[in-house]
Amino acid sequence: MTSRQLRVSAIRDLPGRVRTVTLEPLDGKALPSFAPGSNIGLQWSDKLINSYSLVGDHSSPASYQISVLAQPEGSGGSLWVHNLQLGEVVTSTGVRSAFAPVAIAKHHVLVAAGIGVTPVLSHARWHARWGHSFDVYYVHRPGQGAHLDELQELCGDRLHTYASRTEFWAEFPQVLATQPFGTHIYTCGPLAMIDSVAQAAAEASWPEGRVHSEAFSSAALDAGKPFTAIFARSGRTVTVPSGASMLEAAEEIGIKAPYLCRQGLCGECRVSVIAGRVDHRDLVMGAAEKEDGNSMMVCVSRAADDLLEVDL
Amino acid sequence: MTEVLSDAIRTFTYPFIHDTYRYSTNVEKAGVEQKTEVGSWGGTILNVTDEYHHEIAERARVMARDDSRYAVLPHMYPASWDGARHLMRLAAQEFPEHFQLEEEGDSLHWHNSLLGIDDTFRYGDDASLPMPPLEYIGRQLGEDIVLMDEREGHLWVDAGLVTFAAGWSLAFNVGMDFQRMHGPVPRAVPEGVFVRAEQFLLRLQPGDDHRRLNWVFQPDRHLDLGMNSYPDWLPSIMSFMDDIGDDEFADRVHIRIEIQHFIRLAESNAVMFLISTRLLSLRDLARVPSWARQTLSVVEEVPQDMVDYKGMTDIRPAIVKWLTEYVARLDEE
Repeated sequence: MTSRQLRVSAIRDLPGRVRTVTLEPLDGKALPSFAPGSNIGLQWSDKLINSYSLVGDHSSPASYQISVLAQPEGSGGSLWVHNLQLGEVVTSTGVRSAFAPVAIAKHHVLVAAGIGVTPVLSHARWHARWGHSFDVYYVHRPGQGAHLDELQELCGDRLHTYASRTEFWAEFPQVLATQPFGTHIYTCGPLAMIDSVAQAAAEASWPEGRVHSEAFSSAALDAGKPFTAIFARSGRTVTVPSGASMLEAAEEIGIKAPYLCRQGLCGECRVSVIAGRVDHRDLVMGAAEKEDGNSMMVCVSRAADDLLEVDL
Repeated sequence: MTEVLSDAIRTFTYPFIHDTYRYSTNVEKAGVEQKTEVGSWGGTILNVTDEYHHEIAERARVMARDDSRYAVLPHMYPASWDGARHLMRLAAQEFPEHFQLEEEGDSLHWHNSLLGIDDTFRYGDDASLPMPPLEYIGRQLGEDIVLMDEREGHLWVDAGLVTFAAGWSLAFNVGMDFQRMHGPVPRAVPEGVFVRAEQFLLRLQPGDDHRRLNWVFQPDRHLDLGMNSYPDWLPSIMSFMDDIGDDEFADRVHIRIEIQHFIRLAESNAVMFLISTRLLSLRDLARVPSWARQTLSVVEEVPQDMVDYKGMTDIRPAIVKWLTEYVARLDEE
């Protein structure tokens, strides 16, 4: 993936401790277009890259915009973004598409909770541009709705806002029950919100493949059982201990594997599975893909049994 | 033996790496120049060659007889604009002497000096072009174009302009998923080749581009060997071996190379599949002695089911015979 040097060219504060940072290319050339829901990774320390949804124009962008919530209790990436100064140069990964709209959908239901609004804004921009049928359901604390103005402009009366989850749930089951055939739902927000939307959709008999999500924080995973990993291409066999990932086990013996987020979110570390059943713990692959078992994310997923052979 | 080789030979996409051939996911990065025994190919993704005007005229002729060669399912409308713009940018970047594209936001100004076309239009607005975007650019390039949508963890063949298909039909395949589309390929064969190929394509990130080659031998220089037009070309191919004289065989039999490109479109997330068809006569191919020897080895060894699938059942023994005699003469010299 091509990394890129970008310069901070504008900073704007939004309601709810959210800051929008505009990043422009150093060479002044146009940046690549991107699919709605795409993100870029920003390198904020030696080894750490955080991914942020792109919220601006996706067709012929002169710059990229990200909107980041300050999280003082987080690992530090968000505060790093908030401390960026005008003119500062940062290193970004190439754009990754991980949460694109489903083109074949007859109608799109976009659910945003809090800072989960960022990819939803980008989806709404796309649907408005191409004249698609869509609605946005946005839950945010009163007075703290980031990007509310832009959403209002893009969506008009297709924007539905809620001051609390209680308010949202008073209405949303009815929404689920009355959507046209061929509707897809996209939820972005905390894991609990995603789970409850998925559960409500399942209870309303929605097919799993029409319910999509992007999580903003991953639940801590358990340490897992030890298992034997065969790295077929390297001709090495190791034991992956409890508490260590297959990716770490590979790195330990000098095998270079691709990775970015190391949290099962970005999809960069996907490898082909040659033998063995996988306990998939990532948030990238769909249910059908997980069932196929042809590939896995080695940063979080483990052997379902005692042994796993992969193409690495 | 010293002989001046034509440009067609020196820039030919000679496909064989080994002395035998099986289907595989033989994919490499696009746009990387590949050296051959006598020249090179592949420095560009698009192929604009001496054949350009012939390809454009042939495409127009095929479309005039059968407009089902162009298909865009309704949900591929944004992808068709994304694909058309990508092709225009690529053409302008790789062949600036022939094509220019000026962009100002959604306003595009396209100039094709080879065909004397000059249009200004708005991205996303079909009414601003004389025809839909994919057809518009497709009629100005020699490449067949297919757009695949990604959903449910699979790729779906949902749009394209294909006039030079070798034994398949876009109209038949449109709406199919990647696995189903490849259902008829025999022995394809170490199990899972197409599963892995699809996985690979699904992993392509915005702007990523890769290529692979496919090959077959055919009589004459038909570009359109599509299923839709069997009556036009099948009879002459069926009777080819009966009618052909020994002395004209190597001039009329051609190796057909498909340069296939896979490009992840950045804005629509669709995968664009391009096929550029190159033809070279067996006689020209054999002018490079190492090519003659290796091609003989490959064609002789290819399993029968693959030969049947490629439509080379009748023609293979004659190619082997001609190349065997030719190589024997080379060895004597």
